[in-house]
Amino acid sequence: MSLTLICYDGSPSAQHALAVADRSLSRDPKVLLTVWSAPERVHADSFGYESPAGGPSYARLCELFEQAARDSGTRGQRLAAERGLDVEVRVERNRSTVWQTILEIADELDVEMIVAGTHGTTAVSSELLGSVSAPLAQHSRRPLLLVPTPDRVDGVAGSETAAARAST
Amino acid sequence: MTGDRSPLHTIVWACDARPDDGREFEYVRDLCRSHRGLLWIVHVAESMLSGRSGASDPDAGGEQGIVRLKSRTRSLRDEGIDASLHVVRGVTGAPATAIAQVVHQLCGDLLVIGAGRRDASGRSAPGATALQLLATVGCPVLSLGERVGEPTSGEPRPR
Repeated sequence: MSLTLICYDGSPSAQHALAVADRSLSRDPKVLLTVWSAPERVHADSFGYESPAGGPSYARLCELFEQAARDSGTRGQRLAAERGLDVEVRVERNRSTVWQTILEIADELDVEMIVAGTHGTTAVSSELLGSVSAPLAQHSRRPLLLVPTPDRVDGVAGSETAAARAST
Repeated sequence: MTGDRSPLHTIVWACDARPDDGREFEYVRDLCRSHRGLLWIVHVAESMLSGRSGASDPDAGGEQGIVRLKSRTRSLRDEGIDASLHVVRGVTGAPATAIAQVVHQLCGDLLVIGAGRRDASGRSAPGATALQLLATVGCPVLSLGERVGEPTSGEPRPR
């Protein structure tokens, strides 16, 4: 039985990737992976003591970040369910970099394919691959399906394509 | 066309005709079987600007590679897959630009690119053409890693 790992961060690109995975791939089991990164410890002094000045503690901040990732994963699962797609949600803390964490999870699950959007929540330019998708493309030894952002499909390269398809 | 059109109606496989692309070929063949879509095998024979030439590049197939691609296209058609070969010659620029144009003209639903060439350590990585395609093509791109075609258990490995 082969698994497909869908990387999901709630961005439009990730939502589009989920839709493409639904339409294009087989009904093999799918795992929806959300990786969250812990916040920087900007309030800690050199001895590690925190002075949050009335704000939440670092541990609380991490809990909030993780909860946000879980909520994002749940929304992705709901989105998938609306399409008749049953996915298992997995939320992982960033172990080193997001792309390395994804590849490590892919190895642990021994997935057949990784699906990701080209630009996630950290995207800065539509002309380049995102900071996660670019190293994924360079380092993944498994088949990797990269799905462009919807605006690229409908805009830069896909306008005539979309028109042609609409006429069929 | 009807509403039964497969989401992957037109699959484009950008192929550099390397002799060792057998597993990529089998993966693409299985993909076409499962989706019953059109397959366009696209090969850029040479690029006048980049200097890439099938005849001088030991990793590329050259004219022999094109002969092999024709044979594979025929075998796919014999299996009932609607496959065609499109060889692009005389490209004056980056091969990725030519491939992207072909994908656009063919209204490709999915572009499949190979695992790339092996480096000195024996690992394969996508080359500049593949990375440029991933960043610019308007349809989903499937990059076949070097482990393509290897059996997977689908079960978590012991840690």
